[in-house]
Order: sequence, then structure tokens, then C-alpha cells
Amino acid sequence: MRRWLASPFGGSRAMRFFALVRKETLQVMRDPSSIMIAFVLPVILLFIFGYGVSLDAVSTRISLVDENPTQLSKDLAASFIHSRYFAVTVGSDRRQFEDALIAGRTRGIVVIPATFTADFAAADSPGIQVIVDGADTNTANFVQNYAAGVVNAWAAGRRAEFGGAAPTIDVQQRVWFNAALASRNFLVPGSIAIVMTLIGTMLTSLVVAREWERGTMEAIMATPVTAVELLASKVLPYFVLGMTSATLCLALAVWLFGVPFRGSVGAFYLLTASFLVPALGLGMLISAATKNQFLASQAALISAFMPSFLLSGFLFEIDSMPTVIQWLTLIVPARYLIPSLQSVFLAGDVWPLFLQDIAAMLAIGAVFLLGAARTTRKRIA
Amino acid sequence: MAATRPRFEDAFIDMLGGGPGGRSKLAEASRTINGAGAGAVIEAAGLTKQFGDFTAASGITFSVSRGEIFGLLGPNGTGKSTTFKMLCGLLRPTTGTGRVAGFDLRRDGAKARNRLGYMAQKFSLYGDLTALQNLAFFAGVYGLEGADRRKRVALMIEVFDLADYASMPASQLPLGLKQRLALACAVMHEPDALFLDEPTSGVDPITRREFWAHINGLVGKGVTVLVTTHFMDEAEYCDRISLIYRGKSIALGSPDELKARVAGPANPDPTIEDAFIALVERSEREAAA
Amino acid sequence: MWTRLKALIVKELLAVLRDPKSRTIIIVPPLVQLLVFSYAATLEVKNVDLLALNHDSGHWSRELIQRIEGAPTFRSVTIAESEAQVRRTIDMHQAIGAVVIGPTFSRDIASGAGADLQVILDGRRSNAAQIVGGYLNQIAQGVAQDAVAASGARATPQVSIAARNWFNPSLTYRWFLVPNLIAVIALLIGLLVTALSVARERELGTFDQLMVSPLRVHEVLLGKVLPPILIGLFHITLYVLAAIFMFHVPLRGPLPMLYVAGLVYLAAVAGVGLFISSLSMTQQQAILGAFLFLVPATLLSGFATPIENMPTWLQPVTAINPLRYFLVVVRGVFLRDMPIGEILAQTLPLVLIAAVTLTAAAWLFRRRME
Repeated sequence: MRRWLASPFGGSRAMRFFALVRKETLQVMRDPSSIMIAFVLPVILLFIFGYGVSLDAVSTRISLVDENPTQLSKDLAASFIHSRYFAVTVGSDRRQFEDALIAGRTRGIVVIPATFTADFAAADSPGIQVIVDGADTNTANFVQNYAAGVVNAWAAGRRAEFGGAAPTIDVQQRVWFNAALASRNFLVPGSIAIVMTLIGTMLTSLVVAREWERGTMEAIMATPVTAVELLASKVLPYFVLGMTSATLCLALAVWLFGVPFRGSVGAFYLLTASFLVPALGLGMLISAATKNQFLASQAALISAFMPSFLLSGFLFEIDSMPTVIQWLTLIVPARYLIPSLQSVFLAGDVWPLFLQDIAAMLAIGAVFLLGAARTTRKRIA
Repeated sequence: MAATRPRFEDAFIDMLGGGPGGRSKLAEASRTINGAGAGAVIEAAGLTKQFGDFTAASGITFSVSRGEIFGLLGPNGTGKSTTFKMLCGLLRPTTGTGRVAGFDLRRDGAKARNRLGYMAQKFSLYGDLTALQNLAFFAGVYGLEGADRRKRVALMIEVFDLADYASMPASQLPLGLKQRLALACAVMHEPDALFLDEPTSGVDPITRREFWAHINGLVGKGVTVLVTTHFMDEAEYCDRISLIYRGKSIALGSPDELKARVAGPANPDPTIEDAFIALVERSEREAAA
Repeated sequence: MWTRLKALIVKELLAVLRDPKSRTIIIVPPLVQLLVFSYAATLEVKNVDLLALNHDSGHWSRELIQRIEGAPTFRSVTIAESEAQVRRTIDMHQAIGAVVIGPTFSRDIASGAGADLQVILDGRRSNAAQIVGGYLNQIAQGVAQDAVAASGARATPQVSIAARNWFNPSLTYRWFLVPNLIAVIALLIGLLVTALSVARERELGTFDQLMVSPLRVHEVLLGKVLPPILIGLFHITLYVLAAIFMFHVPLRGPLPMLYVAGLVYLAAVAGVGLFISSLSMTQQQAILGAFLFLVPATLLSGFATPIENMPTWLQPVTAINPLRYFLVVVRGVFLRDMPIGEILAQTLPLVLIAAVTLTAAAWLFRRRME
């Protein structure tokens, strides 16, 4: 290495490279959009995922109709009213609530029919009706599930009236890693992957495409710079930017959002660094292939941002997707980062998992970088 | 008129087979702008532009009459483009007024802009669109419709020899053709005044001569031209020049007058370049004093 | 004025449509997004891998495991040998959870005492895990009921719930998602195209040419806003057709109202895009600005997660988000057969947003012109 550096060829090459890197770094630091994307947008994203996007229903508006109020039915109604998952409006006629359901002002109507009390006492298939707004399937599911929960708990509480000698199964749930079942605890770490994608792919593809558009790439063509040197010089500052942003995200996640962090910081950095390899490779590839900012932004959006959001397991379970799509996720780098990232926060260092994911990311990264080098070389040549 | 000594450019063009003949089909096809009376076509009165603390141009005053070619000359960054932009409506003056074809640029901006044509320094036509589509766009924007538009567009294509390139995206045209297209788009609506911002920078000498042949022809028909340039010999084409330095007009007159001002025993027959340098030096000395 | 305006609109449309690359970009990504999103995005839980650690040798534990295996949600139930194996498998993301059956399970059921069942869930995938937990609970209760029937003892009556899922009986997630996508794609394309329009001209230098022409400010504005609206309407139509014919989402309400609201929505979006464009000096800034608006707007609109789930102090922010209102309209028109009065009630805020953003953009234009 030293001999190579000392040689006239190697030495000038190194100098050239460092000059390039310096120029790139200066450009990055002076470009307000880079700062925006690397620091402002992550904060906004984390904020949104920490506070705004929540799968944990807090207090869903529903209505309740008790057609024949008795002590029993009022007791059942009370279970609903006191449930922390529902904000209940009580009425006596369901028609008044049906318009509200259509307009979206209430999410569900619980109807305790007139015959309920009698049926329950006689053990004659007592039942209630739960009408939900199926247009919002998620909330509908939730309302049905929690309603069932409220009802079962209430019925179990009535066991004493019936002798209590019948067999029961008491299910105890133990939730590992995230006892509070807070969606924030997996959304915030997951959003770090999205932030890395934004910086690694979106930002770089835009910036380099702009250079192609403006012709400054061609200016560099006139120098003895090789495609590999050019790529490396561009990648380095954005790599540093990405890692800095990752640190910011980590700090926010732990100190602002209170997401537990049970793994090691070293593992965290290793994981994010490995992810930046395919992310940056893709960014370079896109910019060299499109040479146009509009196209680059679109390409980055479909090939990087959307997959990191949709196909990575971040929000939607990969196992639940159709098989074809599951295969597609195998080439999405974010898919390997998400489980490891979630683990390093919530579970601790699970090295077998980490090493598996890192290997996958680096392999994909190598392919992208190679592709980027080939495409840039073609443009320069 | 005395014969001048040949320059390098003349030899170059001669070797290429001689330049354009000096006729302009464009001019021949254009209407003659008559106009009774003396109204100045382009007027600048006390134009001043300040960007915060920095005064880019101050107190610029001149008026250009019909059929005149008026040049703004000066080093870069000294207020030439600022003045130019204020007069074609791109910049709003801090104080002072500008008028084109009698319309105040601030109050009747749209009317004024209807009567002027603009050719930018950087190629600023729509690269994605073909030459023909560019022409159609500018025709429409200047209110030409129907048969009128078709006639004018066809004329532009004929005059500027764009027929072979009509369906080519404008960004792919060679520079000389881009220039021609830009000029075509600027004159399609037969404007009273033509604003040319360094129109021939980067263009080969033959195209440059052709260009000036068109301009001169148009001027012969009564079009008024305001041009900025820093080609000294182009300054010679102008009827009058304003030399702008440090935001002020330090000299105003015909090329000959300016040369006469700096002629002296040391330099009895100065070129316009000599005049330029000498006048700037003089201005510096006065400022220092 | 119409001549000038027409020329400008033609030019804008040409600029977007002429370039074959640009043309494909207007068509392909929306299509890809539609397909991938619709098939990939799902909050349903399927193909679940589970572990079972069975210390019991009796009948009921086998029954329980069989029931779980038979349920369509579960892809595989692997019998684990040890707690360590359970830990490892879940750690490695190879199973989402495990049922742990104690040694006295079957005996406890038979004797009428309460039997305990432990369900371990991976909290890293807490959303899916909760749903899985719910399913397992149901299955367990089913087994308990059978045990009750077998024992003949008197038990608390099960209160049945008659679930009426209005508008979407089988709670097909796609019926929720695809109409939502209509609104989102209009936002995406509308925003990108308008945001780029002015910034691109400024960056390439053609903006001066426009400013020097006799075009007036409101003409430039109209000329820049109408083409994206047209393109947006095209996309909305594409997605509506896909929703009806490809995904079989029922269309129960008045489609023309969708277009009326859509028109206003696109105007509001174009206004935002122009506003961003006028603030940007370069295309890159415009794209990033558009993005900066797009991401929060999409996430905080009720698109993926309901607005009610947001903290109360954050909910008012959604009031200025055009997507929020149009989402209600789209879902309302497709699934709820929303009455016209309600649709208009949602369109009114869009009119306001459009008015404000377009006025702001015009003001910025005028300022930039000077």
C-alpha cells in the first residue's frame, strides 16, 4: 500500500481522490437540501411515526343502543363505557346512529337487543349486535375484536352466577420485547430504515442526476478521474451524512420517544452502515441511468422509498403478502434491516440474525455498486 | 466611409467561401414600422436598482429612437444586465421609469411586453419541444392565431432555414440553429423593439454576420434594437453606445464620438476597445479624486 | 387572452408528454404503485409460523394443537423441544410466537379446574402479534367450549356477537386500500408535476422568457395549474377503472361527485405544488419540498392509520391536509353511498385550501416577477 502510494501513479491517484472527496464534502455541506434531508426530514419522519402514525387505537368513537334497559344490560353497557378503548355515546334508537355511521362520525354501533336479558338468564344463546363501518377495515376489525373482548370479560365476570364448575382455559399472554405492545416501539426503529433510504438513495440520486443535467459531470470527464474514483468520492460524504443522521435518529428514539434500546451501539452502527451500502449503490445507479432529476426522483421513489415502506416488513407483515410479492421482498435491502433494527432496540444483540442480514445487505450492495460503476463508465466513455 | 484594414475574422470568413450577402429575407418580409413623430421607442429615465445595500445601477438615462441600434457595453457585473433587465420588464427598478413603445413598464407592463421581443443570453427556449412547437408556443403567447400564426411560423421556418430541423427537439440543435430559432421566436410577432442580451456569444463568425444582417435589415424597416455585448467589434454595429461601469453610464454616444474622445497624439486612431479602456480608466481616476 | 393561455397549456402538456421517458414515468410508476401497494399492503395476518411447546401428554393439548394447525391463518405449527429452542426461533424471526402447554393441561380441563395456557408473542411485530394472540384466544375458547359440552357441566352462556360489517361484509382490506390509493396517486403526481414546473423553468432559464412575454400573472398561474389537473384527472380515472374492474371494489355512490370533488382536490394540490415551486430556486429544491409535504400529508391523513389514533394535540394539523378530505369522499363514494350533502361538506374545506394556496402562489409569482 505504501509502495503504491509512493509511486508516481499511485501517489497522484490518491491526491486526486482526496481532492475529489474534499470537493464533494464541501458541496454537500453547502447544499441546504442535503441538510434538510439528512436532519430535518428524519426528525419530521420520526416525529410522525412516533406520534402521528399509530396502530394502537386509543379511543374509538362508537355508539351504543340498549333496546331494553335492565340492570343486566346496563351492566354490560357499562363495560363498554368504561373500556379505555371506546368513547361511547349512548342512545335508545339505532336509526339516529345509522346516519352518523354513513357519514363517518361514529365507527360502530353496539346494539343490545330487547331479548338479551331474558336470553342470558335462560342460557338461550344470548347475543348482541355490533355494527361497524367496514369501509375502514382496520378500525372495523379492531372494534369487533375489542367488543368481543369486552363481552367475554363481562361474561367471565358473571361466572359466579352459574356455579363456576365448568372447564375453562385461561390464556395468559406474554409479549416478549415489547410488553406495552406500543406500536411506536417498532415503528420508530423501522422508520430509521426509511430515513436511511431517503438519504442513501433519494438524496444521492437527485444530487448526482443534477450534476449530469448541469454538465458538471462532463467537466470531470475531462480529468483523468476513473468511474470508480468518481463514485467513491460521491459515496463517501453521503455515507458520513447517513451515519450522522442515524445517530440523530437513535438519540431521538431513545431520549425523546423512550423506545427501549437493549442492544449494543456497535451493532446498531454496523447494521446501518451495512444498509447504506446498497442504499448508496442504488442511488448512484439511478442517477447514472437517468441523468435527469425528475426521472431520478421517480425512480428513487418506486425502487427505494416505496419498497422500504411497503415491502420491508416495516408496517405490513411480509408473511401475509402473496407469495410472488414475498419473493420480491428478497431483493429489498430494507427487508433485512428492519428485523435486525427492531431486534437491536427491543431484544438486544441477536448476532446470528444480524450477521445473516448484514451479509444479505452487503451482497445486494455489491451488485448495485457494480451496476453503478458500469453505467457511469459507459457515460464517461 | 474609409476602408478599414482586414482583420483575422475577415480572412477566416473569406477562406470559408465568403459570408452572407447582407440581404435579409426576414427583413424583406417584415412590415415597415412607420410611426409618425418622435416618440422614443425605448426610454430609460433615472433607472436605479438596489439590492439591499448594493446599488447595481444608478440613474441610468437615455432614449432610443425608432430604427436605432443602441448598445449597452461594459465589464461584467457592472450593471449592464441589470439595466437591460429593467428595460424589458424582468426587474422592477427601485426608482426611475422605463418605457417601451410609449408604455410604462410598471403600469402597463403587459402592453409594453406585447411590443417587445427578447432574446436571452443563455439558450432559453424549451429544449424538450421541437423547433416547430417552440415557434407555435411563442406565436400563441404573443396572440397570433389561425391563419396569421400559420403564415408567420411558415415564414420564420423559411427565413431562418429551419425546415430540416422543424421536428427536432430544440435542445439537440447545433448552437447556430438554436440562435436562429431564438431570434425567430423573438421577432415572430413583429415587435417594435428588440432586446438582445449578448446574442452572439459562442457563435461562429459566419452565423454572427448572418445574424447582424437580419438585425440590420429589420432596423432598416424601423425596428429599434437594444443590445448588450462585450464584443468590441459588435459595438461598431451600434448607432449609439452607453458605456456602463460601476452601475453608472460613464459615456454615451456613437462609436465614433467615443473614439474621438480618447483620441490623442499618442493614439490618433483608437479602436473601440482602446476607447473603452481609456474611458474606464478616466472614470476610475475621477472617482478616486 | 385565450390564445395566450391555450398556447401555455399546450406547451406545458407537451413538455410533460413529449419526452418518452417522461411519458412512461407518468404512467408506469402509478401503475406499479397500484399493483404493488394493493397486493403488498395488508394489515391482515396470514401464513403465520407458530411454535408449540407441549409438556402435556393428554387429549386436550393435542386437540388444541390440531385446532391451531387447522386454522387457515397458521401456516405451520412446529413442535418445540425446549424453551431455549423457542427463544432461539423467535429471536431469529422464524416464528411469531409460541403456545406453551403445561403438564397438567388436560387433567385440569377434565377436572373442571381452570387450565392455564401461555401464549408467547414477538413484541417486535406487535401489531401482527396482537392479532395472532386474538386468534389463539378464540381457538382456545373454542376448545374450552367443547370441553364444557363434553363434561355436561353448566357453564356461563357464551354471548355471541352478530358482527355486521356494513359496506364491506368480509372486511376485505383491498376495498379500503384501493380507493385510498386513488387519492394518494392524485396527490403524488399532481404535486410533483406542479412543483417541478416553475422550478424547472427557472433552472433552465426559460422562466425569463415567460416573464418577458405579455402573459399576465393570473394567466401564467392558470396555465401552470390546468395541465397538472388534467393529468391528475387522467390518473384518477385510471385508478377508478382499476378499482372497479381489477379489484372489484363496489361503486355505490355517485361517480360524478367523485370527479367534482376530485377537481377541487387537484386544484388544492396544484396550489400547494405551485407554492412550493415558487419558493424553490432549483428543481432539486422543488422535488424535496414536494416530498417534505407529501410524506407527512400521506401519513397523517387517515390513509394508513385513523386520525382518531393520533394524539389530540396533533389532530388539528390534519385540517389543512387536502388528502384527508378527499379520502373521506373516495371511500364514501365507493363504499358508503354517501349522500351528496356529505360529499359537499367535505369538498368545502378543499375549496378553501385551494383558494388560499393559489392566492399565495400568485402573490409569490408577482413578487418573483419583480
